[in-house]
Amino acid sequence: MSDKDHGVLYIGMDLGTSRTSISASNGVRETVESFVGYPKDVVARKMIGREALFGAEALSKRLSVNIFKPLEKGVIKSTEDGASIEENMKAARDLIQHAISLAKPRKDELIYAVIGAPAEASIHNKKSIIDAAREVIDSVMLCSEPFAVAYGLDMLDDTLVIDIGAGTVDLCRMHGTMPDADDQVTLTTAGDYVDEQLYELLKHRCEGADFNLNMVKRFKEKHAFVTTASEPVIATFPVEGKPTQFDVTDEVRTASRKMVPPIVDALGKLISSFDPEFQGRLRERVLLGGGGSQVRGLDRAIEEVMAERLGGGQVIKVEEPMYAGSNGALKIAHDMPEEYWEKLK
Amino acid sequence: MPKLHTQVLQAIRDHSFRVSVRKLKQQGHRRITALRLQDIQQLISEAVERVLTERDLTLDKRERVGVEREVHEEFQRLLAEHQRVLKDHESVTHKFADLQQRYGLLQEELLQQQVLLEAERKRELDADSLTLSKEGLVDVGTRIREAVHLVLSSGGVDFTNGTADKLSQLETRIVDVTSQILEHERLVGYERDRHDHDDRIEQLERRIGKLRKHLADTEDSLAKLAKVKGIDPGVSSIYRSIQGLDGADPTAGKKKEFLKDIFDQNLALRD
Ligand SMILES: Nc1ncnc2c1ncn2[C@@H]1O[C@H](COP(=O)(O)OP(=O)(O)OP(=O)(O)O)[C@@H](O)[C@H]1O
Repeated sequence: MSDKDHGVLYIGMDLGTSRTSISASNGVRETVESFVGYPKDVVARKMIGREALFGAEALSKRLSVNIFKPLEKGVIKSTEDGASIEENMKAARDLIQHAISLAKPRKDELIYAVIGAPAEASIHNKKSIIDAAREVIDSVMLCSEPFAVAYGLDMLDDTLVIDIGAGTVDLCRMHGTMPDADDQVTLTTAGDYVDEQLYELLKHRCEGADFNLNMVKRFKEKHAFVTTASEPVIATFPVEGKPTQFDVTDEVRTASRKMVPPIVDALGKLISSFDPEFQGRLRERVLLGGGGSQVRGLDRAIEEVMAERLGGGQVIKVEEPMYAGSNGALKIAHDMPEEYWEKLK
Repeated sequence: MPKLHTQVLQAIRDHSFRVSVRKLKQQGHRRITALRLQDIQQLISEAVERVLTERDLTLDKRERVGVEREVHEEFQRLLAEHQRVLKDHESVTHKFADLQQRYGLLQEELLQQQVLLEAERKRELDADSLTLSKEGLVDVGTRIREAVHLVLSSGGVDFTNGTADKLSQLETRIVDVTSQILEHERLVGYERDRHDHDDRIEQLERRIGKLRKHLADTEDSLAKLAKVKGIDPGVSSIYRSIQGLDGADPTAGKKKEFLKDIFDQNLALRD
């Protein structure tokens, strides 16, 4: 590729179940919900004027497009709503290529990318991710998502990373070498689980009100908290068409707090199976990231339960949880020696 | 380096202009590309770094001036390139809007002509009616007069036997001649009308054909331009060359191992 003589663009990508983010060495940072929508018919295609829509735009046109969430539970596979594996594979490819285009690469620059993929992705899935990316960039590598977060923050030794996503909470133990299966725990008590819990609680609290799971999710993203004290949280839902206010403070706190005990249990497991000499240090270096970590007071709440059950601990909330993964992947890309990139071209 | 600082500021002044958000909106801008001061600083420090690493780090005064100059030039180059990209993009956007407008007008005109053609095709020619213009009427009058004159002078009518009879003969003759003339006129009129009709259809068809071609050409140009427009020139990376681990990083050794692990895992995935 001799015409690529302008420079080198590094891209770090966090390919998530619910959200895909990129950070690039030209200063661009973007995030898109991991949805792909294809026009349902010729008329819809004409109206939309594009072959595919992504993220919020796809959702907003949900009547005219078929929506795919290609990385449901971190893997590309056939889904319950009838999408075949081939369809999801295509959607994943389009999503990856769209994410790369968000970085606004120049045609005359080499593009090297590191993609942080869900820990559960199968070998086959990883290969498809690589194939999709290679169509538009020069060289690509995958790495585990929590590892990218830790690398980005220079916390490669004796650190526990908690990544709270939509479908899963991924915990990973870093101890100076590449983490393996024993260093990882995956829980399903993540963002979606909180949404469901809150939905059930609100059904009781706001009787007669009209709302759905998606509205509850949006509401949670605005108001979720776990602290004991809080301003009252008021939800406005229509009752027989009339907007009605409900005080849902307790319900929001209760639902959000449900994430804490399983996380502390998993931390306990990862800490107690570690070299006793370094267990204390590990407990003091717990990194909290992922979209779901934005629940107000979550770090303190985890610390409190750690103090009760594990005899103490310190939780560090990553700054910009939306980009912690992609920033880390970008740093890996930057540090990667040239010969490695060359060999994977 | 106070001199460099002034030069850089001057360069920024030379290449930038102030404009209100309202004005931009009026001009139809919805999205703008903004170069943050932070980005400018990054560009500059990258330029400085690049120049310094290419030179000996202990610089005497003359070399320092040289570095300043090179930095200045590098910065100017980057800025100029940025501006060029913006300008190109703007001109393409204008051209695109013009073409779109033209395309709309052509489509409208094509539609109008198609309606006219349809109407002309549907129009039935009335072979039984006779329409005469004023001139036509005069013409017919003259010819009837000539015909009567001819009848009288040629002796085609015999006045020696009873006058009434003769007058009736004359009348019959005149009616004959008149209807012949009118029949002729009707036929001529019909032929003319049919000819006009055919001409008009042919003309409309030709015009529609031309419009269709224009439309297709415009569509073609639009598609080509859309491609150019769609090819966002992109945002330049701050790196000109492959980077790699910073040797001064105290954890470089450990990171190197991690990077090798990642590479090995990826290599295994390719098999
Ligand atoms: N401000 C917020 N407060 C609480 N939860 C939030 C907030 N913003 C986003 N979330 C939740 O974070 C979750 C998405 O997190 P994230 O984007 O990190 O997931 P992901 O990386 O795509 O998923 P996964 O890690 O499962 O692959 C969703 O459940 C969302 O509702």
